[in-house]
Amino acid sequence: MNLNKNGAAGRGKALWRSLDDLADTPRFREFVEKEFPNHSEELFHSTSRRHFLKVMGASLALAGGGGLSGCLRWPGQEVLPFTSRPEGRIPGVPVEYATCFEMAESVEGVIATSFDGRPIRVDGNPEHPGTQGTASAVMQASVLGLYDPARSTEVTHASKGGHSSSDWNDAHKQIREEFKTQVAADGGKGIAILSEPSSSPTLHRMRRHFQRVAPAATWYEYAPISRDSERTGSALAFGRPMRPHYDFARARVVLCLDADPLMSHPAALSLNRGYAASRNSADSDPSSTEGPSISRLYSIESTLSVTGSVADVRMPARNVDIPLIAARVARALVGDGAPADVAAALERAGDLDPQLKSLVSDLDAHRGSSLVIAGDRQPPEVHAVAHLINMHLGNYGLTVKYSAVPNPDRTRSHSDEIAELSTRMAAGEVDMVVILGGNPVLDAPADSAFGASLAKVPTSVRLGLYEDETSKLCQWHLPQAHYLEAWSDGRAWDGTISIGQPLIEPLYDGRTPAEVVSLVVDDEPSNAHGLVRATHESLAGKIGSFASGEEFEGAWRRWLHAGFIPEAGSTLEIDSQVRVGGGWGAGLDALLSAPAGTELVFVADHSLDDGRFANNGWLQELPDPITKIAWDNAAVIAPSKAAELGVEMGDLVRLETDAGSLEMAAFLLPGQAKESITVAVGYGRKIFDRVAGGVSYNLAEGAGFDVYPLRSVEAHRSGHAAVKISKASGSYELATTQDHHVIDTLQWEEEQRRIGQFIRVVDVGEHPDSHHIEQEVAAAGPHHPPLKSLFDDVKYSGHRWAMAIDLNVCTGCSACVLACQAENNIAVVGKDEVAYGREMHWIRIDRYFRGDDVDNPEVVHQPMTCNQCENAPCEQVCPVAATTHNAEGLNDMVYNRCIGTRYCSNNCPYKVRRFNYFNNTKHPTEQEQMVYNPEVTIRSRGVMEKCTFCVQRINKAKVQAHNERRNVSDGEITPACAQTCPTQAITFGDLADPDSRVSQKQSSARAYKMLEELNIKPRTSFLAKLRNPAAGEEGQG
Amino acid sequence: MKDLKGFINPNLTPGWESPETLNTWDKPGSRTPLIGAGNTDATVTEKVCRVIEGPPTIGWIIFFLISASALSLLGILVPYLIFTGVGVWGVNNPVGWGYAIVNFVFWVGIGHAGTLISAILFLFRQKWRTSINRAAEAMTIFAVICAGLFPGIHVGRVWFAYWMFPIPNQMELWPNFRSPLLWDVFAVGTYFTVSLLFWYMGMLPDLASVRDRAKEKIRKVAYSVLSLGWTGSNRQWHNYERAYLLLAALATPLVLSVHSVVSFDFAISQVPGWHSTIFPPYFVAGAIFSGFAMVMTLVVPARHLFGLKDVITMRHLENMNKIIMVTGMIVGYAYLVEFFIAWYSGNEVEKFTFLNRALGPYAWAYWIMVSCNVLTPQIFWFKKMRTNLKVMFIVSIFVNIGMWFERFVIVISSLANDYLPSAWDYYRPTIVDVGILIGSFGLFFTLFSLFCRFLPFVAMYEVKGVIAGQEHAERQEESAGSSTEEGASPATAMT
Repeated sequence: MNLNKNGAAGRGKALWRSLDDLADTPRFREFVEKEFPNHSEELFHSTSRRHFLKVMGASLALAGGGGLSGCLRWPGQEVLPFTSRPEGRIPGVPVEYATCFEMAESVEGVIATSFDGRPIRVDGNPEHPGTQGTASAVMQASVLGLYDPARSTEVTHASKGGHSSSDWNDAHKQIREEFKTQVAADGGKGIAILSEPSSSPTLHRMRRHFQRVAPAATWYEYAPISRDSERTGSALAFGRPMRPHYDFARARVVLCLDADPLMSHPAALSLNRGYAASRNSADSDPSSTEGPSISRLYSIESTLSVTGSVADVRMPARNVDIPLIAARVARALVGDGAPADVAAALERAGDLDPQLKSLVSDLDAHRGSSLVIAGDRQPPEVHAVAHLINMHLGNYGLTVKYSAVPNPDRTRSHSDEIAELSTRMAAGEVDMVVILGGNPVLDAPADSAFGASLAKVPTSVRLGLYEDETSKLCQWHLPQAHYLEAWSDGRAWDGTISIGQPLIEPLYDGRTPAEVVSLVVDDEPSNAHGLVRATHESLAGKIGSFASGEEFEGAWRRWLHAGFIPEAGSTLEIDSQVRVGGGWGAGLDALLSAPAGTELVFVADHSLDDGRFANNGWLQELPDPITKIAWDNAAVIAPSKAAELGVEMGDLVRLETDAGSLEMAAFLLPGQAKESITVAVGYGRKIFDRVAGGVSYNLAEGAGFDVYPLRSVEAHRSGHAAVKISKASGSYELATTQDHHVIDTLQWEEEQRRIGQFIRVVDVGEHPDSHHIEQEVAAAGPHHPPLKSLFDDVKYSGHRWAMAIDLNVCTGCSACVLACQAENNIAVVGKDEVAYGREMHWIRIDRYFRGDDVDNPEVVHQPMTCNQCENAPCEQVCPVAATTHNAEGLNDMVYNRCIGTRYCSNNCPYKVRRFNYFNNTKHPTEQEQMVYNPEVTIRSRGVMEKCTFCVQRINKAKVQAHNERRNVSDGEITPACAQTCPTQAITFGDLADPDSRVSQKQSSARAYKMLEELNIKPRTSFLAKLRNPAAGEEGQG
Repeated sequence: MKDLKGFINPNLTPGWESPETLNTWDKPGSRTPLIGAGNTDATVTEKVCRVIEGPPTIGWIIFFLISASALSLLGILVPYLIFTGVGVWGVNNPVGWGYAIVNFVFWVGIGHAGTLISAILFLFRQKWRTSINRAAEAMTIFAVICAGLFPGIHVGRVWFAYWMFPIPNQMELWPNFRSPLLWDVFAVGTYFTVSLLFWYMGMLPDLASVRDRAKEKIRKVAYSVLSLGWTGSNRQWHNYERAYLLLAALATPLVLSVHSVVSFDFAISQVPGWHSTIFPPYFVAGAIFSGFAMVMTLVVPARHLFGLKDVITMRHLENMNKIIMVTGMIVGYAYLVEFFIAWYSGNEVEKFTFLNRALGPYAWAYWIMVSCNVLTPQIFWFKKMRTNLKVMFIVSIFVNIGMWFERFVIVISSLANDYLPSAWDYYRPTIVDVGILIGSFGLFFTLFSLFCRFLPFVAMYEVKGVIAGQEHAERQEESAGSSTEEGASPATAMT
């Protein structure tokens, strides 16, 4: 017995209980463990003074808290202070990390803001070439998904009477066992993996690894909203799948064939930047008499898309008619220049429609600076036609470039893959299926009967964020890690490799798809960090992304900091040697004779995408950019078609396709093609009883219609289906944030008159004169007597914060609405309250239809938020002075002084004030509270709130500048809406600085103030919208 | 009414008059008695006091129970509102003010007739006011209580509503004196205080009469306390009359100011349809209009139930009907002027607002308002209708409805469609809105029925003064008639 074991330097245990204790023998350890199972740790390791103080301090705090809690109103919490502050961590100071967000087979580089360890915001990564600091609504709302109360919290396993909880060890043991048996038997012939399309190099690596281990197994890929036709279309044209990269900034004439590049495109954010540049060049120089030179955008589409809504010339057409239109345009432009079989097909397309003549001559006149884009819902042949036209017009290499696709091995389309997997499962050929993400039971084509087939598979494993429709039919449900909890990677659309790092320990022990593959394939499953790092360690060598001699660790840290691998650049090689080949003429020919009748077009929802964000309160409440419906989808039909059917807004209609039938609410949308009905997928899920966002609203109370049952494999492939529509009995309340009631003729005419003043639009040629613009903008305003005020003008000596909103580049995408919601803790109120007109958004996008042509109206968008009037009407009427002016001209709202008379809201001509009719943040769960931005007060019931120009950001920047003994520089402060706007339509700054961007914009020829005639002196200027309709088509569009 | 026949010119009266309508005719050169001729001081006291001294009638009990049940609705809904939030109402984003403010303005308007009758008509020596002023003043007090309820409960945070009062406080924050809502607090507060004092002071001699007649101990003590030691001494009467005159003079401008200030809530704002200089006179006329209608609604059944037909005679009612007709036409004129100005000003937004009122989504409310307020009172051009109890009761109900809708149209249709078409919405009241409106009527009628039971319904001492004057005039006439057979000159008959 070595009594000196602990005391090599002569310092043995100071106190010992027995000789055994002193010697610390194994026998003694065993005894202690048996005797004091919970305290063995303390008995072995002597208590340090520091530890003692920690425990005593905590006990005291607990005792105090517990003793006092009887008379305290807040819930008791255990707060243990750090005894020493971790390096680099300052409590209360938000920390930003770069990570990446994957959707639609492409990632966006984002910056996630973490406050005391909890992610609260997601913004675009300013350095990332794709986002450059901007973000879409969906990206920003993704942070709410992290705290979704409906997320699955544990591994579950099917047993009698439902799923019972299990754990990862059991899951690993059993699934791995099953996998090994299968592989040993026949190479894993009966094993299938179904994943979502992903750009992740790590997942691709794991896929290869999986294929090596189980060579006979099949890896399927499926997405309900697929971009396959783009891929297949380029394969038709060029002989191999290519990825087109568009450059809007260089294009003077753009034709969108059922395409929505500004909203529904993986690279929408960078396309938006290009679009904005093409609309506003030379505008920044007010001294130049030569006005801006702007591009012209044509759009031919069945439903009004975001891109279509900003098009200069728009033409509604059925989806199925677009191939013919495309072919006729191609015939006029390319003619015999096409490969022989294609030329023959084009010949049969016939002559150009008269209204397309100016389009064709326009494209022809802009060789090298035009661009034709085909949409995802068009068949591959239309994409091929678009490529053909672009090549022929010499746009190749200028406005459009082609690169290889990141995964050229996938040869079959998603439609084929899901159909095959269903068939095999139904036939009993699949013994084990692992579903990584997605939700195929909900969104697989109806006629593939995926759910019924899945139920026949003996071993089914599902990794998902929610225990949803698919999980319920699987044996195993594994909780997925949210991307903010996980290590991940991916490629942006342009090929930039991005790396995603977690900001928080997984809340529910979730894992990533790559980890689950490893769990199935490996005996010792790797963790996501190891997997991602290994991928890039091996890739780094190949792409030479760090200088020789540099340790990988250094590069890895640099990449994590940047959020992407800057040295690697775009990893997709731009192909400069593409040629359009033939072989698809017959396919095109078959499309030219479109069947008559009504078509049903399935589109991804602007908010919920394919339904994956159905439980995200922010996105549910975000009004659709075009229809302004929140919480619902609807059968979007043309007013003329509705008149034919005798259907009014909200009436139920019956839709019958080859896959099924459904009754759903109708929404009458001007600009919709007459024989085309559009439905957004992803709604009508009734499985969760609490929506993320702190609202006690239940999706089962009404949140749209599930249209997946109407969609067959064929409809998934082609994007549309033939439909029989008839009026059903009854109606349904759609909650819209605009046009709440039926507008009569009187109101319609008045609305038209006012829109002319509120949203000033100038029709220009390509090189308009800025004096002309200035005159037109001024002439559009109302005539009013000289304005005199009862009150003395306030003299401002310091900053004068102001905003300029450029209507010319606003597309209505609504990213700003969500940015504001996330930044300012804006409450989600639920469908019923939205229907009542009580939505809380501080900024909204007003969408108006202009003109008398109901079938094809002009659309204008106007972001509307507090104009921070200098002579604010709201301030004068508040009896308790709860809304007052500050020295910098901001109209401040003092929540704790507000008694809620709502007089200010009545007197606000812009109607931007929002009232808390109920306690909208009454019962947030512990997780839901985590998303709140601590810089902004949570408003209670009965108080008014409104846009503050993100005063918390202003003050933060001012404090920082003050500490650094300098002035706040222009651009240092950006409100959330301005920061995120994909086209940078919103400019914020200081009017006291004549050189600031906002001063420049406010002195632009296009600048005007809305409702100035009320003498309220708004601080916000709007910049008039420029339209560039084709010559001879003035007024049409 | 034995001698009334003599006043009637047979050439002027058609054959349909009933004994009740006889004193609505004037004989040139003499005064028609206001009070039934059989009345003496004693009968008036007896008739009025009988109401509060006898056991409650079945009619009163039923009426009280109905009113009290409606009041209990208020008792349930107001706490529900306060604990849940004003979202239980139909108010929404453009329409921030709903039924609560409509009801507020409606009740304040009702509260106008009382002080007008007692103060302004007093200053103008209109003796016919004496039979109805007590009831009308009581109605005023109760209507202002109903009105005062609404600004309090309509705010989002009721528990801080007291911040509207200029109370020195530790926050060192004062209300915003630029806000018309604050002016409202002062205007309505002052009006209520002065009206209450005026009413109570005017009741002192009558309370003393009741005290003197009281036989039970509790009654005696209660009325003793209430009558503040009134003895009816000459000196008391002298001071009393002075004070009454002064209070009347003080109350008179308030009649005009309170509704003018209430109208500033709208006129000061810049909501099209609110922002209008016509509002103060228009609101005051409307208030008098609705106030008289409400007096009519209350008095017609009350005089029947309490047997006061020859104290509150047809002549009183007819006079009120004339006022209803005149103010109704002023209101109608205001409606027209609003349209004219909307066109004449060249303000397109204003023009739309008014066209939208008459033709837009709230056209139904607008036309209810016009037909009730402008068309129905026109029936009073006909004396036969003016003196028909059923007709005047129905018209008064219509006017009440119409004036409620006037406020509905002003408040809601203006807000629902103001500047930005994107914000336009349609206001839908909820069951709570309706319940609280009914509850406020419950409060009003409960208070009024208690008033009928416990306080003298008619200002006895003032009526007695009228009787005295009447007798004096009759005596003079008789003596004049005997001395000069040709008849007295009208000037001497006037006293």
